Amino acid sequence: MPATEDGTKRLLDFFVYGMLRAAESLGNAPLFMRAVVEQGLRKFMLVNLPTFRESNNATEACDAFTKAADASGLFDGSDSVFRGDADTVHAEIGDRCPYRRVCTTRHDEELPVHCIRTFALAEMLRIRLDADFDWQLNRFGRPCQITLTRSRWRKN
Amino acid sequence: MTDVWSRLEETIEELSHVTDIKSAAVVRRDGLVVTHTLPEGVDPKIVAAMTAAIVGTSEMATIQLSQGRFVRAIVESDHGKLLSLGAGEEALLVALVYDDANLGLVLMAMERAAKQVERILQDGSSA
Repeated sequence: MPATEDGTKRLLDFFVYGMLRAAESLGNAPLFMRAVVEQGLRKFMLVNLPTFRESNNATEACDAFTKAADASGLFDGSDSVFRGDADTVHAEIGDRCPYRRVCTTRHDEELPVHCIRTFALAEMLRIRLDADFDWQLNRFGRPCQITLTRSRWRKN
Repeated sequence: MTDVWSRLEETIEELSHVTDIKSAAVVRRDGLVVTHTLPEGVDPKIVAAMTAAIVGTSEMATIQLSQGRFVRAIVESDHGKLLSLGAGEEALLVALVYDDANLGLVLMAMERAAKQVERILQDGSSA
């Protein structure tokens, strides 16, 4: 185990940055990251988020998921805000995101910013609501602004 | 107006009726299945993810080897062939064909279907 909190953060940066670069070198970062997050959530969601109870409303589900992650000590979700309705979520994620350092590094290197938090939200919605959501990082900044929209590709 | 999913389903049904094509699917580039005619016993989610991986890796190999634009990927095996190609910026088309298939005919049908999928998605975006 890393000896310090900073060591844990640097280890996270190391693995996330490495995974993103590896995914890009294989030609499909979204597929790779989606698969990683999906498998992780399927395995650990029950263990790590025991208080999470989803709603059929996507905005409420994202909010509940983030609060449950916060309550379980995974990350500080107090700077995350979700607005919208059952089909569209407008999210703002602030400075306390644990992935911000990796995203900033990639942004500084002029590489695409793949928002791990949003991959997780979209996969959570897919697993728990059985609904596909397309998402877009509208702005990388303080806060990051993201929109998740129910996919038009899915059978109604 | 018919929704995007229904129009995609019609396209894939039509493609599946082409001689030598066993089954087909439209998948998203991030590996999610949209619609398919794959047989029972085949997991469409796995096919979708594999197709996205095959095309992504093939596209990257094409770039790294300076071979110009990626056109399609063909996986040949004992009992048939798996053909996959892009259908616009967001989607991929995949077909499972018989081992002795007339590839010219199949590819022509697939390219037509891929253009149709691209048009449907463009219409859906602008609607």
